[in-house]
Amino acid sequence: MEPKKIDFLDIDKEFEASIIESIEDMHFTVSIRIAESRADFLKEKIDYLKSYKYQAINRGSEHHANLLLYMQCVTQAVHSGFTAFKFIRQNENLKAWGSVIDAYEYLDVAIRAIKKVNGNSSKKALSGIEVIREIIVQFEKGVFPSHKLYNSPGLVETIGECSICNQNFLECDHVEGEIYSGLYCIRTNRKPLDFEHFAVVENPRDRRCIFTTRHNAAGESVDIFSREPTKEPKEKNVFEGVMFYMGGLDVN
Amino acid sequence: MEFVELDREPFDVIDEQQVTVLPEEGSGVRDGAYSSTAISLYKALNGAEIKTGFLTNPERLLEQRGAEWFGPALLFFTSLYTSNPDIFSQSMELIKHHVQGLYPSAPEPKIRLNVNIQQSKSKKTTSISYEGSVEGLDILAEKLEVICRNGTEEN
Repeated sequence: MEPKKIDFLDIDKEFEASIIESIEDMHFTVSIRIAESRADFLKEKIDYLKSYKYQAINRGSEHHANLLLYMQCVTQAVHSGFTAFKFIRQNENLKAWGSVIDAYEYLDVAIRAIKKVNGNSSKKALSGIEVIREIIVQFEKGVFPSHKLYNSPGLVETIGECSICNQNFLECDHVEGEIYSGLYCIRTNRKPLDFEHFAVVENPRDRRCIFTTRHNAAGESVDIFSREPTKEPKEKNVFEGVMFYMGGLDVN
Repeated sequence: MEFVELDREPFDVIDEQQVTVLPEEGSGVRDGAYSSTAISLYKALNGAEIKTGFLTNPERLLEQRGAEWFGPALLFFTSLYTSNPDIFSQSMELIKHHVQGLYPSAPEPKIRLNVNIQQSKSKKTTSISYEGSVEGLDILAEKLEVICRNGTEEN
C-alpha cells in the first residue's frame, strides 16, 4: 500500500482536532487512566509535530517551521496539563506543580511563535491559547495551595551555548527569546559558578521555586501540598523549598 | 515608576560613538560579571544598527530570578547624543520591544535599568536608575536627553 502523503492543511486539521478533543477531557476529576492515555496520545503528536518541523526547517520553509513550533508548544502545554493531572493522582504534588508551570511557559513560547508568523493579527490562535491558559489557571487555583512567597536566587554562571547554533553564546548573533525558523533561542549548558543571594519574593521569574513545607495551626511542620507532617519536625523558622531550577522546556 | 539620579566616577572608554554595556559593580561574586540579559541586549542593539560594545570581555553572567527584567548598566557619551539626537529614543524603544518579546503574556513587563551619561569634555558622569514598566522608558529617554542638553550647555 502506498504511504499517504499529507500536506500542511492536513497537519493543521489534525492538530486542531487533537487539541479540541483533549480539552474536552481536561477536568480535575478525569481518571488517571484517561489522563495517562491523553498524555501518551499528545506525546505522540508532539513527536510528529517536531519531525514535521524539522522537515520544514530542512526545506527552508521558515513560515511553516514557525507554525509547527506554535502547534508543538500548544500541544506540549496541553500535555503538561494532563501530566499535572496524572501526578496529582499519584500524590506527586511537586512534580504536578512543575508541570503546571511548564504548561504556562509552553503557552508563552506558542504566543511568540504565532506572533512571529502573523504579528498581532493571530486572533484565533491567541484566543485558543487563552482558553487553554484559563483551564490551567483554574486547575492551579482549584487544586494547589496559594504560594504567596517564592525563592529567587541570584547567581553567577557561565555564558553557555546558543540553542540555535551551539556556539558559545557570545560568538553568535542569536538573541534569547527570539524564534529562528521554528527554533527557540535560549542559552544552554550554563553552569553555576557562585550563588550570590537567595531572596524571598512575591513575584519570581520561576514559580517552580516554592517553599515545600509550612507550619500548621498547631505549629507542626507539614508538607505544603499534602499537609502531612514532615519526616523530621522543623523549628518554627525552618522551611524546605526549591531554591533553584536549572531544567528547561523541551522546545527544540 | 521610580528614577534615582546620582553623580558618579567617569568611565575610561575608547569609543564614545557607541553604546557601552557595563559589567555589574559591587563586592563579592557579582563584581565584573555582566547581567545575564547583557549579551542578548548587545546583539539586539547591534542588530538594529545601534553600535554597541562591552566595557570588558564578558566571561561570567549574573542571573537574577526576579519576575522583572534586570537590564545591564549602559553608558552613553554626550558626543554620541550630539551626533545622533535620537539615540535615546531609539535605544529605549528597542529595549521596550525586546522586553515585551521576552514576556509575551505580561501586559506591562517590569524592568530595572541603570543608564549612565558621561559628558565628553568635562567627564562629569550622571547615573540614572529606573524601576518600572516598559512604558516608562519613554520618560527615561526624555530625562537622558535633558541631562545631555544641560551638560552640553555647561561645556
